[in-house]
Amino acid sequence: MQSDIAKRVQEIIVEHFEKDLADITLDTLLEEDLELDSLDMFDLICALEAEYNFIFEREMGNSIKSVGDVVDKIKAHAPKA
Amino acid sequence: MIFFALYVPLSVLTYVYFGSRVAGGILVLISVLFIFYNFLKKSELKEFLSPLLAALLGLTAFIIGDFEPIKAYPLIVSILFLTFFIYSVTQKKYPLMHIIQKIKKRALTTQEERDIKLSHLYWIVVLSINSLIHIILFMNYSIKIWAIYSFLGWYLYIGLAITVQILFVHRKELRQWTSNVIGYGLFGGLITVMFFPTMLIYFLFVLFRYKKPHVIFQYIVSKIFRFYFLLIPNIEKIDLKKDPEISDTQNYIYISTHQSWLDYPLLGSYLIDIYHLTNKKEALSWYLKPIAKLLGIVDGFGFNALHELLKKLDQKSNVLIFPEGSRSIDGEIQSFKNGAFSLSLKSDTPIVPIIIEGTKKLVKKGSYNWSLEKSITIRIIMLAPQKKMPNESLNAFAQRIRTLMIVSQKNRND
Repeated sequence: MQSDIAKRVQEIIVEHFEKDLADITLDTLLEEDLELDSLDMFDLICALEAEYNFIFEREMGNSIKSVGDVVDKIKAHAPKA
Repeated sequence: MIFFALYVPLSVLTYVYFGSRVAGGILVLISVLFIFYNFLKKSELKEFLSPLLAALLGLTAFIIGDFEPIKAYPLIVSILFLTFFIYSVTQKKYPLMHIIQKIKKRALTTQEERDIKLSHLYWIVVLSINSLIHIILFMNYSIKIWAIYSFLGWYLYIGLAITVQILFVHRKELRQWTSNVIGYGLFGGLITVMFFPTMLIYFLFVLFRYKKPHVIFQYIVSKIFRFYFLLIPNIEKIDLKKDPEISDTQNYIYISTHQSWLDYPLLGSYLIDIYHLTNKKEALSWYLKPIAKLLGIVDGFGFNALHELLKKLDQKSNVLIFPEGSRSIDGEIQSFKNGAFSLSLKSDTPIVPIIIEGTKKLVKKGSYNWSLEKSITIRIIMLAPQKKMPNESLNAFAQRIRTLMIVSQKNRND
């Protein structure tokens, strides 16, 4: 995981869900690999929105499956990124 | 087993129409065919014994021209089986152990093994009586009486023996089975009976363009659930305590403790115009989705679910979330996920904490068995609405609510 955004997303996941840093790569799937359920996703969304000062729109939800997808969305839409 | 089942009707019918010699001859023929069939199948030796014995008896009946050897078959089989049973028990090999283990599909507990070993003595008596009946019928009664018992009667006798064993030896298992049938049967039965009337009323409201027709559906379902809980014999009473600050005109995010799958229908019997999440993807299968949506299950997971709930809160509907994420095994409140509190912040909707007590006693996590306990009191305690304080972090907000619920629960139990 190279970019600052990717690193920060990784840190937020570790902070919120007590996961191992080594288990989180860009290809890691949020539901299947990290076993995040809907409530966990809320936490993640809110933490990222507060961090990058933007809103995850509903349409983005369909294409966010992995950590890499989250990073891409932030890069594409967040003003602070 | 098939051979044994066919033996009596086959031999009696051929005897009635063709006499003893022909009956004996046909019996030999059928037995040889069975032996040949088992030979081709490469069956175990024990599969050959029954047709071999029948062939021998059939041959004897054919030679002497009398039906009596044919009558001897069930008697000989019952005595042989009784002898084998007694011998196995004396050798500490318990035939029923293997059978019951196969039925239960699991290893038996020490208590179960002890009970099954003891039951072998009971079955020795049962099988002895069966053999005695066969002896008496063979020696003293007509072919008709012999045929009735040998074809059908002995099944009824063994069935009665099994029933007696269950009633007197396996009382607890029978009670458990009965309890499960009542619990799940009532639920399924009520849902089935009320499904079409409920859908009819719902569609009427849709037709008349009622603003929130799903509320009507949930209202009717809430009455069905309330009736269901009234019928459950284990429940003595349901005690609802609602904080007076909870307003009828304000929508809320209800967060509740979670101990049993029954928490959903229980809260569903008191909360209307409510939406909630599910982590069971089957609930959103194409055939369940329409009903799931009417019941308030939000369509989607993760990101989509959040937006869906925000939309519903914006429309002044309520939301129900179990912040522990899954059912508690020991009844203690587990750590909270922050999702409900994030939702409260984003939508500026107060949270109403709910404590449920007693459902764990009915059906607990990890088990499908209904409790055998009677006089269970179910409590639903709705605490005063809460919002995040101005300088409070999200984590602190969640922790404060959790502590409030733990203290309330503890104060109730002390």
